[in-house]
Amino acid sequence: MKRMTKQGNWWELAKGLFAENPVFCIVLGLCPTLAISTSLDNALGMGAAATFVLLGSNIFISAIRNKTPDKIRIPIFIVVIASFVTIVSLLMQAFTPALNKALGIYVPLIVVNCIIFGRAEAFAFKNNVIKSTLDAIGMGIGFTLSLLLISSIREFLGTGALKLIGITLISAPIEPAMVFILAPGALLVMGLLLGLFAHLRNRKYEKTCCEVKG
Amino acid sequence: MNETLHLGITLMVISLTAGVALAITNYYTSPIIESQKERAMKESLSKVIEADSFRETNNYSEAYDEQGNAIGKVLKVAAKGYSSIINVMVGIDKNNKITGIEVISQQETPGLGAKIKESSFLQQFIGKTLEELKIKKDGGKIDAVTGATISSRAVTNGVRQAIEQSMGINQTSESNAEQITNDDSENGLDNEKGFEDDNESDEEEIEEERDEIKEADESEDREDDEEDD
Repeated sequence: MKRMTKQGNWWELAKGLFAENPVFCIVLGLCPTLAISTSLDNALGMGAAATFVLLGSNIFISAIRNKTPDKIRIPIFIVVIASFVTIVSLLMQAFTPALNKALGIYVPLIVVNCIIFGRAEAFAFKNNVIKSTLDAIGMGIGFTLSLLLISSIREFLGTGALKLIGITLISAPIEPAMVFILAPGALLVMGLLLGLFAHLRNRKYEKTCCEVKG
Repeated sequence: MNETLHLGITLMVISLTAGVALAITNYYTSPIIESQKERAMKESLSKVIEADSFRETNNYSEAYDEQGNAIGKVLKVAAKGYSSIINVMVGIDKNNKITGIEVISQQETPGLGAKIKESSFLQQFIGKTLEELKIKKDGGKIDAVTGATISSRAVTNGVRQAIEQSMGINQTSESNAEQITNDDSENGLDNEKGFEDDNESDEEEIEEERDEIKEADESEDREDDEEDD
């Protein structure tokens, strides 16, 4: 199978989904992940908000990367990211108040979500706008998918049903285990999934390693 | 110097851009957010009283009907329950009767005290007057939750407190109205006299305090002298 060229633009987007998944591979932004992932609605809402901020900050920072002196790049990142988070927060308060209440303090805390700052520093500041946009979309979708994965496990085992925007997707007659909705459950699920992803990556690494060695 | 200026100006430009973007967003979203908050408040207050609009003050919310007449109040009271503070929202009409009641928060014993938040217990408060508001053990008409006398008593006392507060508010607003009409009829001389009297008593008090301090100082000096001896 032809491998995707690492330099191609398509790779910038696709890497955020699995190979460089921000939550399970680069392991960034764990605090909101653990706190928010109790239901599918929360996961979607947080993923959308964070992707919006990531997109905005990556594009803006990439656009001004040649004009900003290196010495003050960090205050500039913070101002840009905080502005986008405030805009998203105001929009959520106005148009999705129920979701805003559910996410609570974690909407303003998107400012210190390491994914956003990390991508700004590691990628957007050094690449052009097109690549930064694709990177942001990829990382954002990867973050959202990770949240959805964790939330579906926690919500199903913790409440016995999966609900999305009011519609019950699956409902099973199992006795729900509240621990999965609470903090210990978050860490349990997170730890097991991290182990799973590490195992998958190791297997892939071994395979390519052996291919190279022939 | 040139570099510092360049850095400073770059930061300033970026911050200005951010400020403008935020101001624009705020301008368009703040009316929507305001109406959201009003709607949420109206929804929660309408649970205990049927009204068209509300006006918030420090301690209570005034309820108005469609024509703008005041038809009652909503008060929030905190009562000390068995194992927690029970926060209750009470709707009171103009005759000091309960129109609705809801328990906002409580941490009583589940299955016993926690039953005070159920409508089967709270329903009986509606339409009651102050005299009837005690649990049957205390001579009133409220059926307490079986096995949760203290929690039931706490809620009942909280509602009594709400009615008394409401009556107190009615009284002060009536007496305020009386005072205003009284002042208008007299020409204010009485007020000035009262002011002068207050002044004199203040001065006397200050002199008395100074005398006391002097005496205290003198007695301290005397004690020191005695010790030296």
